[in-house]
Amino acid sequence: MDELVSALVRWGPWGLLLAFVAWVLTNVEKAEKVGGHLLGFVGFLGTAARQQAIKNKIQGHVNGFARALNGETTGSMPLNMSLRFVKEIDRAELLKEGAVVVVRIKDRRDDDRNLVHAMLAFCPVGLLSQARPYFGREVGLALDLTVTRKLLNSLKHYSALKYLYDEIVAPAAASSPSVDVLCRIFDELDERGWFSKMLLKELVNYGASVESRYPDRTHAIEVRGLIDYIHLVATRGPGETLTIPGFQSPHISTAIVLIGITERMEVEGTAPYLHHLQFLIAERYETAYLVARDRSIPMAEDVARLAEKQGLGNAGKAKEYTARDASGRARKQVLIEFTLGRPGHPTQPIQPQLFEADPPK
Amino acid sequence: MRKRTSVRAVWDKDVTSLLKSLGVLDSLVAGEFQCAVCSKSVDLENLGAIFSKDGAVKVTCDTISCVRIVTSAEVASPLG
Repeated sequence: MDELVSALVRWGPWGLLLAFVAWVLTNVEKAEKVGGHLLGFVGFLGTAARQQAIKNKIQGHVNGFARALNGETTGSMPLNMSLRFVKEIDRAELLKEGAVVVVRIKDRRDDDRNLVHAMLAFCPVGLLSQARPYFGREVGLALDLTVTRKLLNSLKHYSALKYLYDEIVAPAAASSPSVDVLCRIFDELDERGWFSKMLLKELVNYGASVESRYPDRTHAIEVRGLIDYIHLVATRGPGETLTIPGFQSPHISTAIVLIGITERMEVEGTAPYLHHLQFLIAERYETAYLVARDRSIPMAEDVARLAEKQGLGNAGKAKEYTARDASGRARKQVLIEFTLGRPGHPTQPIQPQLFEADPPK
Repeated sequence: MRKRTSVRAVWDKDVTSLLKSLGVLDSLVAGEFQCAVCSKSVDLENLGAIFSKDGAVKVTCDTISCVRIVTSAEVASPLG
């Protein structure tokens, strides 16, 4: 605001214009939404104005969400969507380009279908585009439905959510049981805050790792294995011990480390967790997600700091958030992505240490 | 500034002119088109996507799984 005032004082109307242009350039998604609203007021002037208003509104919503998701998980939605209206298309152009026209935009500003269909058409090119060829169709569809649900939730667009559930998710789930199962898994991961912070992050890394390979069914099996592992950890019962340290496949190597056994923390401090990270390094795991909640959060931060100090790898920024536990209670959580170092030559094999979190009180 | 990727859309009122420009309007209205994925009959009401394959204009119905077959790049699922 100060910059705006000083620009106005110093440069007059030109300063204001300059400040406005600078704001638009740095807030493209918001500018699109504002433009959509403004054009909506003059929509009675004609179809072109209404078309532009609807286009701006959809782009503003989708691109604002995409930017936020990409800010949370870099690389997950790196592109903005540009709706390109096609009025007439030459048959030769269609045949030559292999162009696909997919979104029918209704002439109503608040038509639920417009936003839902635009988002679902954008996701296959805009969400995890590098890893996309390797997912398997069911995983891709379930991811897109989940992300579209998150967009509509973030907008509190409940009528569009109802349309999404009734007209799109339900028929897709009915025709494919695995889509139904995957949507439920992603919902559970999202409820715990692990969908975007962990699963999407791993899929971004997977896309970078597998980049130039020819996509085949073994890749889809890898991705499904990762999903099942994260889901297994996320839904373990109170007091249930994890029987595998992590998930490893040709292109994925990740482990979730739950920090939260109060008795051990009080007696042994960070030692068992640092030992477990050493075990993961010896087993050639590449990434560990340190996860804790409530009073265990400082311990997770200590483990990350000490592990880094001991040369076990590099800790990413601690992501604190609130998410629901298995009993539905909202609890403060932390997730730290820890890039594990390369293994040395230990003189003795390192024994695994498996952990379980505190049962919900 | 973030890069953009285009999603082709058609204004609902322009669907008929688009189909006409492609030379398929009459056939579609006459019920001669089937969904390229599920073989369901496709008309103006349930038209989902328009694309080309083997030198011919093809369409899908508006079922999300059918539209995605022609727009997405995922491999077939290993789970069926």
